[in-house]
Amino acid sequence: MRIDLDGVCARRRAGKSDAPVLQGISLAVARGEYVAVLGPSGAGKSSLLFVLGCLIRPESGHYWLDGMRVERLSEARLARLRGRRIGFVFENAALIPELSALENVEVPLVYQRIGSSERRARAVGILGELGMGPRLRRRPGELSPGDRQRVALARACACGPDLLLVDEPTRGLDARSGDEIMDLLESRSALGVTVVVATQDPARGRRARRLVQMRDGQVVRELAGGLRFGRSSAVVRRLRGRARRR
Amino acid sequence: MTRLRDVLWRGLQSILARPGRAALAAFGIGLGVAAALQLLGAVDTDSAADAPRRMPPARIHRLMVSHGERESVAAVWTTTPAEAQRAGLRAGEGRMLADLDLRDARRVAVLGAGLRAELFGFGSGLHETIQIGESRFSVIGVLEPRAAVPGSGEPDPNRAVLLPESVVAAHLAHLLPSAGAPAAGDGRGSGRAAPSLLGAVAAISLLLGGSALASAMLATVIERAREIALRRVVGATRREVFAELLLESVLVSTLGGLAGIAAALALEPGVSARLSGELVVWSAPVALVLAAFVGAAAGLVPALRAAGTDPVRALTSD
Repeated sequence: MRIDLDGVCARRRAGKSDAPVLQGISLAVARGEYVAVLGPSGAGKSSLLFVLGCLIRPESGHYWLDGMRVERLSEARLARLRGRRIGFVFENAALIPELSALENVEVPLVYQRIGSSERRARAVGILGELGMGPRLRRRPGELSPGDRQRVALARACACGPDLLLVDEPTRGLDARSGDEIMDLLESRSALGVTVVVATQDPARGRRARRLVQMRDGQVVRELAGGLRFGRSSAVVRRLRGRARRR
Repeated sequence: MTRLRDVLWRGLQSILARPGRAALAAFGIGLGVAAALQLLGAVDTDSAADAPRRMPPARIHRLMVSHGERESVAAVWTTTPAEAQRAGLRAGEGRMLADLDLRDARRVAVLGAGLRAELFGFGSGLHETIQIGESRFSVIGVLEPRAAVPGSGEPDPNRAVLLPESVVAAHLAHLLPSAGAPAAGDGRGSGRAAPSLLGAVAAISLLLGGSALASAMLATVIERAREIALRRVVGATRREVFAELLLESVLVSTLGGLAGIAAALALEPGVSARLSGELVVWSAPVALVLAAFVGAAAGLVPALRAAGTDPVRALTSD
């Protein structure tokens, strides 16, 4: 999906404080682009993702999503839009603890009014793609943090979204599962899905093709990421190697 | 209706996750439904006529009966010959009520032996007249002495007056508290629950069950705030969230209602026969609808609250 933000300001109400969190963000992201948003905690990264995911309405400024004026859409339309075209992955995976991995992935499909057999098939398919095949019936509490994040990613991808919004996907993960999650995100972006990842960890962020540095609710700097950095080229080599093996 | 099934399934899972809470709410509603069933049974007197039993309380009224200067309070039972026979009452002198008495609404009465002695002393009393309210009845028979069944709460047959049921409308209606809501026993040795008492029990337990359910649902909504937020994130509209919670509430109360019906049926031969009338065929569906309605009312505020959840706040607060 194509994203255009023009001078977006937003507030977030948390308890009694009602603080401005975004102060005039302008950003354009092309379809299939892979963008990392970097910045210290409190810089407004998560808030930016919430605005992009139509969960916070901009207070001022404009937000176009594939040419649609988001601020003019009704709550119900926004919910539908989220369900069909936007996938979220949260820092803590945010799975429903009473449901199995499979059932968690089915949740978004329920709201798309997809029949139970097709739902199951799709959820099994996407979990299999992400390497969760043998652990479909486990509940989140019985999974490793890395696997939980995979399930969260599977859930985000279940409806075949055009935009993936990912908040701190690797926090709390060991280096290896963190790398795996990042690889999976890259592979999604290669399929034409627009991916926006918020992270505090510059090393992870550098794997993106484009870096957006935030501070105090503003974009302070944009960088090209990707091949310039040694780590990323290692990733690319690995991906190429994998492609060759197939 | 794949969605409905999903919602019911999720509701069931949520109930099973915290069985105690749902059980408490369901218990209150079940109790209310059981009481409501008894109430419906008590009001339905037609079916009560078919059941074998002792003198049923539904149409027994404590009324003043007199003969000349003598008077006494008697248990006036407006009945049919068949019913009196089932209650094990027979005439020792004269004759019992007959079908013709009923058909023609004849003003005839059969007295208990004890009552006869009070009104007529050593006289036989047959073919004499007694007065109940403004109406006179001719005595056609005297019951064989029979003891009341101990513990049944049945009035003493020795102090009873049997009248054909068909005379009530013409001659006694003004003396009775109101048609269809027969008087309770006088409290002396009467173990029967009056319909008004049952109504109060039903109303209070439905109210308590409903508020227990409302608070349980509210607790669920607060506990599951993250889950609800998450559902909103992955595409649920406010309306869908509202409908889900409301349905869950109706599910709990309906299950409670089913349990209440089961309990009422289980108690029927024992307790409920003494409480009042029969269970009627249509009373179970009516009670279920009542339970579902209570569930919907109780779930309204929690469901509204769930629908109003701000996903961002719910997901970011820890």
